Amino acid sequence: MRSSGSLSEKYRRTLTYIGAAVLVLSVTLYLALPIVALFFRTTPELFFSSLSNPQVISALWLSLTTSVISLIIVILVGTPFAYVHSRSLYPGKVIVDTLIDLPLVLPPAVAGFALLVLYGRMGLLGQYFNMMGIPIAFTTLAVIMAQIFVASPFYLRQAKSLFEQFDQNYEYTARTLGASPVRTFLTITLPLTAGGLVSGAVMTFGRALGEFGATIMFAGNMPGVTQTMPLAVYIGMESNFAMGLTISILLVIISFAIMIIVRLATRNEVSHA
Amino acid sequence: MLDAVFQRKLRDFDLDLTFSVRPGEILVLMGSNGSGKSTTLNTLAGLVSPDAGCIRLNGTTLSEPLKGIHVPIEDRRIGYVFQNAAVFPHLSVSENIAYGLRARGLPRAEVAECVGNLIRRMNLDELSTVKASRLSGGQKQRVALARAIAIHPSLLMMDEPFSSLDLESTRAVKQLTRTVVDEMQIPCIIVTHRVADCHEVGDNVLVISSGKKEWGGSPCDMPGNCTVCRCQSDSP
Repeated sequence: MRSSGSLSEKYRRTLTYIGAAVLVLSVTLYLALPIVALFFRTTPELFFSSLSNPQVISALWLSLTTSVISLIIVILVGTPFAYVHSRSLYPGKVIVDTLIDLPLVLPPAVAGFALLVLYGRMGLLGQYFNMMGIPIAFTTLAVIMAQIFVASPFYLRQAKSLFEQFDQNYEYTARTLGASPVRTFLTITLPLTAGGLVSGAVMTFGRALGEFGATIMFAGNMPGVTQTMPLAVYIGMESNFAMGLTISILLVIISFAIMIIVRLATRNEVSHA
Repeated sequence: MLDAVFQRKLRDFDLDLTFSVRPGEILVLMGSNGSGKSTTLNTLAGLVSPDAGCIRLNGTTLSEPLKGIHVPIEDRRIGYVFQNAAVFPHLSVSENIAYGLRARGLPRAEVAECVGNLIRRMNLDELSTVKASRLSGGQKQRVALARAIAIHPSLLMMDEPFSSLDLESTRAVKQLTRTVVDEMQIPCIIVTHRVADCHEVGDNVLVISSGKKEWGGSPCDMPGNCTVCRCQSDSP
């Protein structure tokens, strides 16, 4: 009796191991195979020759510059906003909280359409900008605005959460020691939340770099002006497959680098809550 | 000399206190959890504004709401050691101590001299370059105390400074506090839960209950039937 009991226990354990292995393997393969397929469809020669394609260079340059500009704006405006928002109680705070999160669930095409309705040539505000000779829609500025709209929640949510959880006794101590609120923020709050802020910034950069739906709706798809890398991939799929493949691989590499930076930034993060 | 008369409406009760602390005197503030001890310190520090009353330190009015007086926190020159010491974990021991001096714009040489003196005095010589996040509880309290007195405060306040310390560290921090207060001749307020602390460091005791004074006087005269004493004699 005892040997049959231990036998069934052994079978059960083996079955559990097999079940767990199948589960882990299937999820991993589902996520990894499409990425691996990209690398299998190209050769180093094809990849490097496509890299010199002016359209690829232009899309790469435009994507990187607009994403960096978007990120800088999000950090410069978003950091003080998140700090003030997390530290104050004001009427409608819940609504603002919801609005911060809205772009995360809103389809990017809808975001782009909404931006077009507001800032387009005949838009609610756009018509006045147009009259002043400042067109917004279908310009590089529109690319940046679409990226900010779609990607900023990644930074704002992270910064807001960090500031809410931060132990305010550090700030109070600095103030009693004679530091002004700005000095306290720059020398205490910011360094102690830097790891989390960097990870939020990197995620924002990644999201801005990969932005497609809002950009094509609001900024269009003009090479050198509004054609970012994801848009060039879309065009490449129709007309130049090698170019699409090369840009896709570039985006995969950049995304990997982003995830590694996020992991490194948060690895040594100490909780100061 | 600290003269405090203030009222503040809190969620569960009204904080309504009147007390004075002389230079060189340590007032031990006692009371059960949520009785308003920390809010009292925060009000004196300027982190919380009183609704009414007047807080005067060495003849200068720090808060008087009815006259619209509220001296900013950073201008009060109050050394405040928080319950968890709140040493800045990303800074070294010497940078922690220098923080207030740098914030006040003192010349670099003066900062270095003052920090060096305090490090020697607090027996922190071997730890001066160590990041504060790597210190023990007792070491953190010593750094917090050194940092608080570095700015030559007019008032020293410590919120439960011994609560997380072992016996040896508690004794060391008490001795240091006593010496500092005696030498600098500044008023000092220590919030604590333990009656023993009153006898060991306190010159006077103020027991508060639901924001009101329950008893005040010398530790030797402390009656056994006040809220805090009853709680402690009931505990095993």
